[in-house]
This record gives sequence, C-alpha cells and structure tokens, in this order.
Amino acid sequence: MIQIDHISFSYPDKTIFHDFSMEIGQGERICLMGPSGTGKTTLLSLLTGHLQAESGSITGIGTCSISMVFQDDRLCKRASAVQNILFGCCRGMMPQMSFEMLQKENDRFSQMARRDRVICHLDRVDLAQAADLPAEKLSGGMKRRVCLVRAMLSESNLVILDEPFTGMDSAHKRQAIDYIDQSLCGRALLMVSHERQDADTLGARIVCLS
Amino acid sequence: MGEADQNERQRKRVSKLCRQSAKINWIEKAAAITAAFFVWGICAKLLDQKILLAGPWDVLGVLSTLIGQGFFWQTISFSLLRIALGLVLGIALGCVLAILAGLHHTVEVLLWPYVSVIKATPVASVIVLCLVWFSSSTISILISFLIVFPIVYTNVLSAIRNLDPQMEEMADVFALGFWERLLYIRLPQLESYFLAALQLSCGMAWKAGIAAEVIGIPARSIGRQLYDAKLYLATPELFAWTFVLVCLSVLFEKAILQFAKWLFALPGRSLR
Repeated sequence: MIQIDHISFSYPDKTIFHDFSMEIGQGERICLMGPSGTGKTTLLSLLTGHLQAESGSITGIGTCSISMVFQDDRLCKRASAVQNILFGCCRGMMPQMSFEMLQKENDRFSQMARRDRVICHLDRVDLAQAADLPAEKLSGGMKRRVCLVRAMLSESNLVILDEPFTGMDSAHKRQAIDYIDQSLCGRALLMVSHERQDADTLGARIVCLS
Repeated sequence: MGEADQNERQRKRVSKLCRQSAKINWIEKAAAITAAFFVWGICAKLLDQKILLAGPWDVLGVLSTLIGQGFFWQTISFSLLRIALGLVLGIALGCVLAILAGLHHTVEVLLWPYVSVIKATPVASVIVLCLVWFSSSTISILISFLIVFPIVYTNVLSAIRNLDPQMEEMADVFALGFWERLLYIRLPQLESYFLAALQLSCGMAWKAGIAAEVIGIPARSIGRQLYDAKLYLATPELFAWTFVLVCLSVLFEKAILQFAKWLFALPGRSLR
C-alpha cells in the first residue's frame, strides 16, 4: 500500500534517516520501536506530508487517507469530546463495526445517529459520561482516549498512533488495545510504542529504529 | 465519570487558590475606594481652597445638579458615541488588515510605514494635524481610531504569527473544514491576544479621545466641559466631569470586554 524508498532526512544538527526503506502493506499492523530521538515521530510526519524527505520517495501515500493520534493531544480545547471526534470525521465515519451492529440496528447517518455512534465508541473506552465535557476539562488519560476514538472512527485506510497509551492506567490501556484491535476493520496500523507487549497483543510487526 | 469529577474538582481548587492569591475581591475594592475618598476629603479640608482641590462633597453636589440636566446626558452621549465609533472602526480595520498582513507578507510590508508612523507620532501632534484637516466634532472619532488601530493590528498579527502549527497539522490530517478550523482552532488561539489589545485600547481610546476634545473643543462634548471648567476656574465641575469620565471609562471597558468574551465563548457554547 505504501512504499518508503531509500529516504534521507536530517535536522540541521542531526541526520535522522539515511537510505531508509520500509513497506506498509494493506491491512498490515506495524509497531515502530526504538530509543527517543531515532526518528519515529519524524517518520510519521514524513508520511503525513508535514516534513519532506531530502531524497528518496514515499509512494502510495497520495491515494491513502490517514487518521492519527498525535504524540500530544491536539484537541480543540473548547469543543466537547463528541465534537472533537466529529471534527475528525469530516471525511466520513468508518462503516458499521460489529459491536455497534449489536447496539444500533438502523443507522441512517443523520447528525443524531453520528452522535450516537460517537457515544457508542466513547463507551468502549469508558468515556461515554464525559462525552459532552469540553476537552480542556478532561484529564490527560481521558484526552488520549478521545484522540484514540477520533482516529479509529474517522474514515481512513491507514491509522497512525504515536504513543497512544501515554497517561492511561493499566485497565484503560487494556481496554484501549481491545478497542484498537476491534476497530481497525482491515485498515493498516502504524503505531509508535516503547513496549514490545503492546505490539505483541495487537499482532503487529515490529520495526526497530536505531 | 469519577475521573472527570476528580479532574474538575482539582481544577476548581487550583483556580480558587489562584483567585485568592491574585485578585482583589469586591469588598476589598469597596473598602479601598472608601479609604481613597476619605483621604481626598481630609486633603481638601486641610487645604481648604476649592479652587485648588474640591472636596468629595462639593463634587457630589455638582454631580447631583448635572445628572438632573438634559445637556449632561447629551454631552455624555456625544463623546461616548464618537469614541465608541472610533474604537469599533479601529478594531474592525485593525483585525481585517492584520489578517491580510498575516496571510500576505507584501501587505504587512506595505502597511509597516503607516503603522510605525501612527505608533510613534505623539497624540497631541495628531490631534492638531487632524484639526487642520477635519472638523472638531469628528476629532474624537479619528483620534480614538488612530490609537486603537495599531494596538489591535499589532496584537492580532502577533496572534496569527503564533498560531500553533501542530493544530494546523491535525486539521490537515483530519481534513477539517474552513469553519471548524476558524471557530474551534484559530479563534481560541487569538482570544488572549485580542482581549489584551481590547483592554488596552478601551482605556487609551477614552484618554486620547477626551484629550482631542479638550484641544478641539467641539460643542456638547465632555472635553468642552472640561475646557470650560478650567477656563472659569470651576474646579468642582472639573472634578465632577473627571469623575464621570473615570466611571464611563471603567463601565465602557467592562462592557466591551464582557461582550468580546461572550462572543468568543459562543462557538464552544453552541457545541454543548
């Protein structure tokens, strides 16, 4: 689906990538690991097009829509959790997922149905009751879960998660991992994590950057 | 929800602590004002010369007479409307040109000499110059506009320059629409810069606008009343009009700021 071919990238004081190649297949799950400063987040920015490689090419990204959990939350602080998620679904929402089918039979994609779907997803990560709280009033862990729902519910073929479990306690982290696993629906996953166990639980191929 | 409640309680506790340490409450303010009046009264009593320092009771006496007269309200309306008009024009043009300058560097370069000259020129020179070109009745509009415009322009331009690129990146990744970007990403970032500019502008517009009226002495203006009071050595009237000015300036600033805060809070309120 996406081919990263012999790219090079440097910051003024440091070379991050030199002749780096990698492939992300359709529906593939990849976990990027490695010490801080080895270019994990830089690689994600190259994929989203906010940084440009000095040489080499990234093919397939133009036809690919991306949803993402950023390293920092990047939520609209005044907007509620639901609204932040709805903003992220400007392109559309992912088609019905199995667990939703059980709860809602007739989703007509009206505004109310969209809100119901968001609340249904928030409930999966134990946030349904905070749905209408503005983002600025949520704790760090709650914000991460809102970001996660935004990324998973937004229509895309590549989901990028940059350290998605930061600030979550172990119970919520387990819940979040289950949620990711169930909500991917055949999409490719590129996740940055410092824990091998996260990759193993999600059945992700590990790519180590050093 | 427990986590949200706990978070909210913590936030309230911290904000209460901040309020206690940083702000003067209304009881303290009332006590301070009473004390200031008391000191003023003692000074006036000790000096015992109304022509140099009118006491609070003299001023209150003049004020009570003025309030009952129609011309008092006409005078206040004349100055208030003109200064408010200058303020609104300054805010509107300052915002529009700052947005254009933020979007196009050429606009910023072309505006730079005008903004620099307006900022650097002493208010008195501008007032005299404006009196040469325009009638004295429009002088307070022009002067308050010229005072407000560079403040709003500079602050809004700084805010635009400091827009968070990471939020823009998020908006790009999720393909957010123009209105979502404007209302929920950009406006909240502009708010603190704009409110700071507005707070400064309101006070400055009043001071400069009245100074312009004192020099231009248009009929039925507060500036004219101050000028006449000084001319006839009517110190209690001078103090009374100054007192009215201070009250108007404070009320005007508070009303404008509350309105601006309400406007900025609208997008967030409409979502809940």
